[in-house]
Amino acid sequence: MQQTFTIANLLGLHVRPAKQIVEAAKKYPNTQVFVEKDGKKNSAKSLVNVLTLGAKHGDAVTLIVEGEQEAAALAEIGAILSANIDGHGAKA
Amino acid sequence: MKIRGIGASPGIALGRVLLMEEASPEGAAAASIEASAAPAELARLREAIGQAAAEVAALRDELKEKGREHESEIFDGHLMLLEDEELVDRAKQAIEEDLLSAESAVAVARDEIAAMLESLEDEYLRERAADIRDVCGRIIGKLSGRSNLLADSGNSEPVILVAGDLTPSHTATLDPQAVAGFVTLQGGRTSHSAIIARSIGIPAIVGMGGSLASLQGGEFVIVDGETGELHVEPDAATIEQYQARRASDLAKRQELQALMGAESVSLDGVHVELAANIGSPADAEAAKAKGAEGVGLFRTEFLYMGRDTLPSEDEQYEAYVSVAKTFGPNAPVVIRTMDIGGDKELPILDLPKEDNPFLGYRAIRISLDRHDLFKTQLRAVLRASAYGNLKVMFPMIATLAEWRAAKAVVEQCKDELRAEGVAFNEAIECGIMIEIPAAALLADRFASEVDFFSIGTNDLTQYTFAADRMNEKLTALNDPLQPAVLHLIERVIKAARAEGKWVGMCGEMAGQPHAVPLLLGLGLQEFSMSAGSVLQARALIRKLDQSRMAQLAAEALELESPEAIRAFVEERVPEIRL
Repeated sequence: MQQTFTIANLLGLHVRPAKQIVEAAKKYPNTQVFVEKDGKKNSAKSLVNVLTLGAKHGDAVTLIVEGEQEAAALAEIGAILSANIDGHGAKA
Repeated sequence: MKIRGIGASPGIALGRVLLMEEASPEGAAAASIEASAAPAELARLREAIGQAAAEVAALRDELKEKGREHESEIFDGHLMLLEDEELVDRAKQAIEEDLLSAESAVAVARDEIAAMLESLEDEYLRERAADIRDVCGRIIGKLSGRSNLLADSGNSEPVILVAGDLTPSHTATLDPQAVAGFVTLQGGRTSHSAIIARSIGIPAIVGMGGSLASLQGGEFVIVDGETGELHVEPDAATIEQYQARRASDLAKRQELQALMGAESVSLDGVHVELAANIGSPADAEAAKAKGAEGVGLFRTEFLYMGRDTLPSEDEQYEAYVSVAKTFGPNAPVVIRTMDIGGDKELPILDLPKEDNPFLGYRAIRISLDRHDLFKTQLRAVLRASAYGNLKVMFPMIATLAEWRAAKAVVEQCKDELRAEGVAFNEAIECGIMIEIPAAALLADRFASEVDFFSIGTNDLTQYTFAADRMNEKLTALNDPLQPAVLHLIERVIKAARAEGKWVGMCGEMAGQPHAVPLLLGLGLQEFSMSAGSVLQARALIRKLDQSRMAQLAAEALELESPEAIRAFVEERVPEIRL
């Protein structure tokens, strides 16, 4: 199953959010997790692969999950993709 | 010989050059193995990674214990990279399929991944290539039984380390007792080695490029981490001069460092805000580290210069958000709309050459003509205002009509964003720079309409005296302590305060020791200066009594010349000699 998320983190997928994604993806050993952007499909279980996606704030990134506990993995990792980890809450 | 690079960590260091050789230079010949040796190489690789991971974990824990959280986090990332499946798979593949030794296999994986990172648009991500090199260098060091860390130089005197690039591992483990400063060929202000150098206070210059090729090691050099200048084999007079500067720098820095995070408040309890003038998001980080409480002037021109296309709304938005984020949600960040034109050329706008660029078609005069450019910038600022206390400031305002026209475009952008359902700060403050005497003279009328003033003393002075500030023969006229300028400043501050609006200053004057007591006395509320002057200004203000300075300013306004005013301030305010 797959779903597209918009990167909310102001600094894009930098080391901190990327690390969280890898940590979350590794919790599902029997599930394949990929992040895809502009036709580039990378494993979400590798920090190198998540970083080299080069995803910036506002980019659309598709999360593709195949295997056990798909829905749980999709929800957990999707929440990180759409979280503003480095930023501040909007006040307007 | 003097060579210039990028000043990455301020301070002065003197010492002899220690050239650092890279553990395994890129492009070194790859070592092949027999197919039968592959399993043994794989086992060596696994063992080396395990040893490297143990070492990094120990380093991370040690840094964390010492309270060096930021650096500790960097090595937490390295730990993840060491076990990264992409990295490990590539290295394994190079052993099994290309029949390379484990060392060469790691080098191949390192070069491939570093190249991938370096091809990205984002500067921060590009610089992560240095982290991959660091991690791989550590694995290779374990494989070859060599330590990746700086070998004992055998020197008892502190050295200046010169390297292609310093990895975060090197930088974090540098002993300030042994290494007085460092210089690298690669890297920028945001590379990890630069950040760590600033946090441990080692003077550093980065991005020297090929200009260091002639160094053999052992030369006596001076590192000026503020200006980015490296003096090679300087003469005795230069050495003496820098030694003296270093000594007084150190003494002063210790005194000033104690004021980091202290309030900028006068003896009689008047609070002012000390902000920084910046030109880029990278400056913002440096400014905060130097004690600035906010940004009083963000010169946005840098976004437009040195390129063939205009910056998009998203690109500008990211730059503004990044500055807002650096200073946190409450600190004020004043964004001045672009001041292009005149002497700052922008090829894409195809502006005609002018005879008097400072009196020409520039800044708000272009913005009001080119709503496409102006709206792109204002929308970006408004969108970013959802993430911090951003304010909009218009440069070169001369008439009320210009101010009203500019404000109307802001309102138009707000309407659009509202209709699009995009978040922004509805109450965002809009103000003007007071840098043209016409605006200073009518300050009372502007004050009833704007949210704030910021006095740009550099231009205000040159326009008041009709004296080009680039002309070296006219420096005496370009003195903000000229009584005529002081009178204009007094008028502007009074006008703002009568309407209950805040008033700041973003010219060089705001950080000058002779001017600060007068400005405090006149009732200036925000002082925006180059970041390096902030702590000094704070130290001074904390020694002054605002009501006494008000009296001083009133008397100074009666004097006839900048010289008389300087002498008067020196006599009455001995505190300016810190």
